[in-house]
Amino acid sequence: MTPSHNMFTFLSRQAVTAATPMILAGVGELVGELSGVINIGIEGTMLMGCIAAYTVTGVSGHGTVGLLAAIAAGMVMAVIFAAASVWGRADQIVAGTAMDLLGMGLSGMVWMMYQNWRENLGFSTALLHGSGFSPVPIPVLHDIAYLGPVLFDQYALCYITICLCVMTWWVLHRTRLGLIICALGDAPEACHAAGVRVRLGRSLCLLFAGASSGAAGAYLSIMQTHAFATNMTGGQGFVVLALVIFGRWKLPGLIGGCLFFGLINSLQQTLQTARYTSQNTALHALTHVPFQFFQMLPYLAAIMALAIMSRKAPGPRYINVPWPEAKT
Amino acid sequence: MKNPPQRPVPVIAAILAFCLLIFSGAAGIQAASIKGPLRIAFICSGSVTDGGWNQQGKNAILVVKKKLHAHVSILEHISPVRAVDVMRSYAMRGYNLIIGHGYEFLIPATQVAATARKTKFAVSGADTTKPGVLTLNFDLAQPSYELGILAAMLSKSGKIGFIGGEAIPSVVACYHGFAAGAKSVKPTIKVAAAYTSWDQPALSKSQAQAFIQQGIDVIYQNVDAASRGVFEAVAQANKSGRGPIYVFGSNSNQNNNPTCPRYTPASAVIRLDRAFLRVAQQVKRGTFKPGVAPENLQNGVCIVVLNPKLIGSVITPAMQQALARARRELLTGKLHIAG
Repeated sequence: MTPSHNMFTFLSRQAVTAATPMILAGVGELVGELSGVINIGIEGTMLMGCIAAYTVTGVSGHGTVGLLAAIAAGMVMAVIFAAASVWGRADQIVAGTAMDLLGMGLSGMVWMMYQNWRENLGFSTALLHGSGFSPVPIPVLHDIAYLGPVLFDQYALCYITICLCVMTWWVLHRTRLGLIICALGDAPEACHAAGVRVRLGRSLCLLFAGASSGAAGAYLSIMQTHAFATNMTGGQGFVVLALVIFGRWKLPGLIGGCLFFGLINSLQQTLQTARYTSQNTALHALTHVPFQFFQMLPYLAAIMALAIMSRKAPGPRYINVPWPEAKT
Repeated sequence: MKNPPQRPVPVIAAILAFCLLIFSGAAGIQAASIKGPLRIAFICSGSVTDGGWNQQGKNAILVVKKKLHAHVSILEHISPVRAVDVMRSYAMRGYNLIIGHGYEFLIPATQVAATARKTKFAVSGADTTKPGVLTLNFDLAQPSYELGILAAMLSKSGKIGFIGGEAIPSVVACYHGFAAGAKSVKPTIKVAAAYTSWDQPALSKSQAQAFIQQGIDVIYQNVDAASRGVFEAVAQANKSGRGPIYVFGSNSNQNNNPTCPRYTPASAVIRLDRAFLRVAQQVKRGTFKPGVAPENLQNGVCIVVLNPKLIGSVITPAMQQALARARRELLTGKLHIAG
């Protein structure tokens, strides 16, 4: 394998690893938005998933239990959000902001309590060795040139995410359920007329979104890093919101956006390094470029892509509109 | 002809006398020792559970509380904008010492110190003089220089790297010290630098992986809570047989981190408790003076702590000798690290 081939494989693998939690949270958000509810509280929900997964794994010693706890935490957050925005008819943006703040504050508080409790008992707050997840190379497949290390040497949740994406696409485009989900956001009156309970339908979609955001949080804390830090999501929830629009509310577009973001991010990190270590004079010249320029690249790319792709974006017609609509 | 207006000399004199009285009183208060338990407020911009800078600060202030039987109030997540009101509130409630834990509190502390004369203000991690404020200038560049020497001697590839949380002066100084130390041993060594985040372990991990992919085999990190990501990357690389890849800790002693202690030969440590205790004692005794307090190798606050489990195996006697020589030169002032 040539060095450039090696580099390309490395960048692609890093892109997939970084994109996985965004895709996972994005799939849920997409379904939620298609049903007419925008949840800008994904960041807070992901953080709750992070802390739930980390603490439960730390206590139980089993990563799977931690993952389930993260999904449960995400669903609890979704229930609160649904109660406020779907059943309580609160403004979705305001309620979502509140969920963000709740998740940020609560996750920090739980982390502090967990640390105090563990330290009082004389235990370390670090995950027990082996209780978090490690990458799971799929036999035979991970030996395939290029594709193997990129797609088949990832964390278990990455494979689950791939399956989830396929299933979600199939449900949305090939089943009656998918038709109902889209109709909840585009024509809730028609759904109501057809006997579909709009608020219940939207709540179920939000539950799915909460579960996937919680799982995305677990990916960050017990798979990718085996660590928790306050606000460790670093704005990924907000990037997901942008990427759903970037993808024009289509699953392939969302996945492409997440992978693109992950690729640019891994590329900027490699460039930051290569400018010092490479023999290439062109790369070496980049040592004079401020590092902030490299850090800006993924966000710049996302903004540019948004500006181009979101023109005439056919979003759900009844997004951020409560059901039933308020009588004037 | 109109008489010129009578100059209110007695009034001016009275005001002047009153002011002098006030200032002399204030000076008296400044110099006086404190009889009862010291009241200390500790303010930081992040979470005291971050596993790094803020947590270390909280632990240090708790040491002061224990040793001096002081009353301590800790406030976290205080932005510099809010800090002025928070500090003023503490000053009005009669706190003797307010410690702003980080460079970002320098301006707010200066603003409040101008009016709150009974309260003393200290800001950790700052390097400039401001009226009424004692700045604790932690010089990690010196221990970073020592780590640079160690890195150059450990590296087989001739490539080493530094990951910082943010390019603030104190962190950039670590990079300069690290690079200078490494180049003092191997002038041709390549020293990469990247800045990620203080609280995103995933980002730091992927940056460390990018380093390792480029052939870097010794990483010095100063990313606080995100350091767990760097440790994770190093552990994974060593597990996959790419090693040995080494990592250095910073701020606190991270040699016994649970992720890769066998590959963490040393840490650049700030003994915050020492610095805070000294400042608190000065306030208690009435000897506190605003200005810049250099906290460095010389007064034993910023030092390198070697991993005792790796001495002899990873850290050879030659490395120890080189470190001892550099430390001597730094202590005697023979060696100066250019910023």
